[in-house]
Amino acid sequence: MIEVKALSFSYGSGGPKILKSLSCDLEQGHCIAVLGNNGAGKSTLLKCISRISHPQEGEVLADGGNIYAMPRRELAKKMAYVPQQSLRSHTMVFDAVLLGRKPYIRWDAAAGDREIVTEIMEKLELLPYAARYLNELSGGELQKVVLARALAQQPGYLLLDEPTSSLDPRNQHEMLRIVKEICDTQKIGVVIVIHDLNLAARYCDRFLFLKDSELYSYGGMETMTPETIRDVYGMETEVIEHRGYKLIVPL
Amino acid sequence: MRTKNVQLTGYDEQIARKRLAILAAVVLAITVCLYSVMAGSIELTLGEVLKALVGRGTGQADTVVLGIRLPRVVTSLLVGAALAVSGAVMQCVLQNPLASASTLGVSQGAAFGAALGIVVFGGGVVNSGSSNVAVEVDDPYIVTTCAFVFGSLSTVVVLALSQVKRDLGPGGLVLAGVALSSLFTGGSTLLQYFADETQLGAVVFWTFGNLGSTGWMEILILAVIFAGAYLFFLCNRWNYNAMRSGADTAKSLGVNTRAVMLASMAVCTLTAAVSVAFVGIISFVGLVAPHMMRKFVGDDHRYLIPGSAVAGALVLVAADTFGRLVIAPVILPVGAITSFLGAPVFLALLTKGAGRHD
Ligand SMILES: Nc1ncnc2c1ncn2[C@@H]1O[C@H](COP(=O)(O)OP(=O)(O)OP(=O)(O)O)[C@@H](O)[C@H]1O
Ligand SMILES: [Mg+2]
Repeated sequence: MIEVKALSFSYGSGGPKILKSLSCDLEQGHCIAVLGNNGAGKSTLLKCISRISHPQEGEVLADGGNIYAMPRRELAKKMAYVPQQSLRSHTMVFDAVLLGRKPYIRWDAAAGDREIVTEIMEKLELLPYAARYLNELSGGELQKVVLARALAQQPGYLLLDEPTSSLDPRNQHEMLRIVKEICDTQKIGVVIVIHDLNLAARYCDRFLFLKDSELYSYGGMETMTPETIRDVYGMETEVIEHRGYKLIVPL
Repeated sequence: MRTKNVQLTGYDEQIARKRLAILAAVVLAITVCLYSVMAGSIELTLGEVLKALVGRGTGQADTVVLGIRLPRVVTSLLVGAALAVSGAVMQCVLQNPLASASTLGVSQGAAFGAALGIVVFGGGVVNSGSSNVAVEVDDPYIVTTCAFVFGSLSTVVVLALSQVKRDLGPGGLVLAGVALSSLFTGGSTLLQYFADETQLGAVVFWTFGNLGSTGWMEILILAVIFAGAYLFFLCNRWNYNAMRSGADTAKSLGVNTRAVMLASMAVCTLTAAVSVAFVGIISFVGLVAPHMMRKFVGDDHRYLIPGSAVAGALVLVAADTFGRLVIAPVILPVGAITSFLGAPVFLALLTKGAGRHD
């Protein structure tokens, strides 16, 4: 479990607070959607949880250990993070995914590392891209590669910042299906920042709404209501059920 | 390398191509080295050179090969490799394709320090007896230390700037390098007024670069420093690969980006400073060689680090051989030759929109 305790964060000292004393428990075996409008602080929250940004107040515990006190390498075995935007270097796709084994590599990648990478790439249908270069990929292909890299870390927690933003509809569902499957079978904790409420409702089972730098609500499917959506996004919607799935329809 | 029976389309071939490119550069470098030892005012055959190398040469060949040309070639190899590898690493940790010891002002700072060491602390003596001006560094430790201290000054300023103004961009950082370069070049010029005749030669010499004045003692120091630095860089190759995919991603992969950056910059500065202290400023090798190698091996530092080392060695040996032979017996300063080579590449990088670093 990741325990976020009274987390406060601002960029630079004296800047506006992006996160105000935020607390929540992110449990393993759940797929948690982080929702909120642009600039609400979703990416910032993910960065604080993964020790990319350092909060001014509060702490984050992963499996009981303070993440800011543990060695980075150990943290990287526990947690994988996929940023909202990825750099495109002149690196082959296979090597980019192999980088996910970095926390486990001492001197050089072993045959076992390559096997894990091959398996994950097969699952994400990336094998035909193995020898392609990152700076020659489409936006969606790149997003699949960075997800593959995160999965190669074999983390206990997977933090994804808008992983489906450049994917076509089939790939959006395919990626989230795979993530959910891994979440269910390996009982890892998945935290996804996502803007598509319908995708969130379909693949996630916990919803963390951020509003004005504060936690608005955090709970199961029952919190996905027109009232919440109105308060958080300022938008009128109708929530209907279709074939057992919740659908959010703007009015 | 191939895993189970799964086909990795073209991956192994790509890796083989990268290895082949490095191997080709090695072969080319060896060829140029041999030619460089053979050619000159006294022409030697390959046989004579090889005999001298294994210690069975005639008296004259021995003197020419072991006493003059071989030290020069080995110095070029070491300095070229050191500058190129430092360049590759700086470009990675600063996320700046224009970074290198000479574009960031580190070399110029080191040259000023070295000159200061000679003029103020009396660390060197100049012999102008032979055809080319030769500088003997009496006390390499003083000169090297001064070079390192003032080279570090540039590094510290550049690092501080990049931390304070994060939106500076690659061009901005190089502008800072230009400012530092002119500051230190000005300083070196001022030093000339306080130098006596012999010291003057030394100070002027440092602004051109000369590979012909190192003895085996200096070569040993260069070799030890380079070997240490190379090992350090090699140990960090996975860290560099991680940092190449962005600082955030690198952190999430368990890399302490700040520590790796600071340590790497310190090692790069030391390598560059030692090179400058012994052979003067040699511009652009650190910039050009890594970019040459990137064309063949990409951004993968498992291949880019050895590749840059070989490419840098090759470029510098070739440039120095050219400078030595083109209008012999006059020897052109190697720094001028590498600048002629490097400036167009630098401009090409700028027009390619190197600001985006991809
Ligand atoms: N590096 C930074 N320096 C200063 N302010 C920043 C920085 N990064 C983000 N901010 C500010 O912090 C706030 C929260 O940013 P954050 O990226 O967390 O939003 P977000 O919820 O992820 O938004 P989006 O949905 O657009 O991705 C925004 O107001 C933004 O302007
Ligand atoms: Mg965001």
